[in-house]
Amino acid sequence: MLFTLEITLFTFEYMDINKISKLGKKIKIEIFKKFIEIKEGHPGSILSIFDVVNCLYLGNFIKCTKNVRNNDYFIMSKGHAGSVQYPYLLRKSIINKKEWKKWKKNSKSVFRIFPNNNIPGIDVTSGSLGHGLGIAAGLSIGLKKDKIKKNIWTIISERELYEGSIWESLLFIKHNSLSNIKIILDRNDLIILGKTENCIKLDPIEKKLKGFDFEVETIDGHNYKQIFSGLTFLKKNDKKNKILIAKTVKGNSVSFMKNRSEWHYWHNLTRMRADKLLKELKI
Amino acid sequence: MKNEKFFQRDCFIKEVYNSAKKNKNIFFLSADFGAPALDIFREKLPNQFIHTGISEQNMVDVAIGLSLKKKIVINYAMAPFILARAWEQHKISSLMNLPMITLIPGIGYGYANAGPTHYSNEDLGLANLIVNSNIFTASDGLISTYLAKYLLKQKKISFVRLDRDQCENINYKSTSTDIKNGFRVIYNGKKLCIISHGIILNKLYKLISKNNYFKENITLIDLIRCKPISDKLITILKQHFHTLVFDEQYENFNLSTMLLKFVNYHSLNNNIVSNALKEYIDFGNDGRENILDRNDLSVLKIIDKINKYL
Repeated sequence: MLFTLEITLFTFEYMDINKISKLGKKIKIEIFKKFIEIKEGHPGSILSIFDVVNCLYLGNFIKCTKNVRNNDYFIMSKGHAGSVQYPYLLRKSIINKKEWKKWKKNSKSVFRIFPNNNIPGIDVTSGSLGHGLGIAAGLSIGLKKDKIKKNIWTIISERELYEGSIWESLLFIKHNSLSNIKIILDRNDLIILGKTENCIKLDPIEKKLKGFDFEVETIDGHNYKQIFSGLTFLKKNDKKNKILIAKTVKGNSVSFMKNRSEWHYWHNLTRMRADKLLKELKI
Repeated sequence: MKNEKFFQRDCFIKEVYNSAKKNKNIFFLSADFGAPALDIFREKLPNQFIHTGISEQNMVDVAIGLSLKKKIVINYAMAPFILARAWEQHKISSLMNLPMITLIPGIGYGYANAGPTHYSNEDLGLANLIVNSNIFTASDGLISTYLAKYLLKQKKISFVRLDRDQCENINYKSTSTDIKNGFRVIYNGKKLCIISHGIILNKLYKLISKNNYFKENITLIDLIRCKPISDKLITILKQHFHTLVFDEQYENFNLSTMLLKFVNYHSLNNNIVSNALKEYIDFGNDGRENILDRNDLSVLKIIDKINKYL
């Protein structure tokens, strides 16, 4: 076996930013040890959104308890990064730790690189782009009809903005004032064939989203203070439709993955490279 | 009332409305597509009606969300768009095994007057490719009503294909068993088996009902549910060799394709003869009947085809 797996048990409650950042590094390493072991994963996408997800869970912005029925919804519309949720679900005992250990190449574990709703705690099957917001809208209406107050945290990638369905859903969400949908846009500037601004320009993205009458804030998606401030803006229950743009770096924290679109996919690593990856994730 | 004509979509929606009055978990989603019966639904049950904009993709995604909240959802948009444009969304729904009903109104050349963009000659194939889908086609208003009643109680991924045109009800005492079995044997003749569905079946019924020789010699089957096809059909198929299949879908995928698969799977000895649309785009813009004639599916040409086997 290449690495011993350690699931560090920390409580989520009342952790300060430094602790959250520190624990986040451990969690990140857990995820990547797993990827190295199973030789799969989408490292670039996960590293770009990791810090936001880490704050979302460890900062208690999202309601996540063992009793999943009471939890907020979480939709990772950019399904490539979906496995980033697993360590948090393990920590809340939503998924058994044995399952995590069982997760090996071609094993019968419940885990998959792309999340699906057969996995405990995963609300929506995702992978293909452009569905998350519409599904969130349906959930939101359903919650409204049932008079249940829950938030639906939905992470979309900028690549999804090329899908027309996203804009259809934005119109729909605004029209129906579905303010419990908390939209986070992961803006790492990269798509497979290059930079978004060179391929098909998205900017001025803030202006475009504001044009749909959403309140928009932009943060550095790797700065924990800014993430906390952004998530606080998003969570505030003021009946407004909001979008948080997290400016991120694809492959963040790993020198040979940073801003490299090829690391959207997993590549085989030599032992030396794997060590380098884990070493850099600790920093 | 004799000779009264019905719109299949209104029959279906009326029944949904009756159920939705009692069940607040029923939601009707429309991508800006209407019907007189829907006007009543919208007026009386505004909280259960959702206008999704002319956005079929968003509509089905919203339906997924509602379905995840255990709501009973009916999607409704014009046939050429609801599946072709939102096929991937239906696939996602199927991946999560979410029951929802998608109405497909205006199948075949129902919107022939609007030109080729509005033809729906591929919807059967598209619906068939959705894993675990159930596909129903209404041949008259009565079947449409029965289907609504039946499907609102089922938790299945269901596609209900409806015609745009009004049609008379087939003079056949349908029972809920017909819907459950997924087919009804309208005539039970000796020499030839004809299988069809939808408005073309309705036409075949009219044709046969006026001709005693046809009545005596043709077995006419309305295949209400073509996916999955009931095993109960095997007994009837075993009684015939020549089996003509009529459908207003392209020849590369139509009802006969599904029947061929069924016949092969059960090792039946039937000569399945496909009578479907030729694979070309018809820009004639001169109405459904003329286009069907060019596809050898006008009433006269159908009679010729039948006579060849009698």
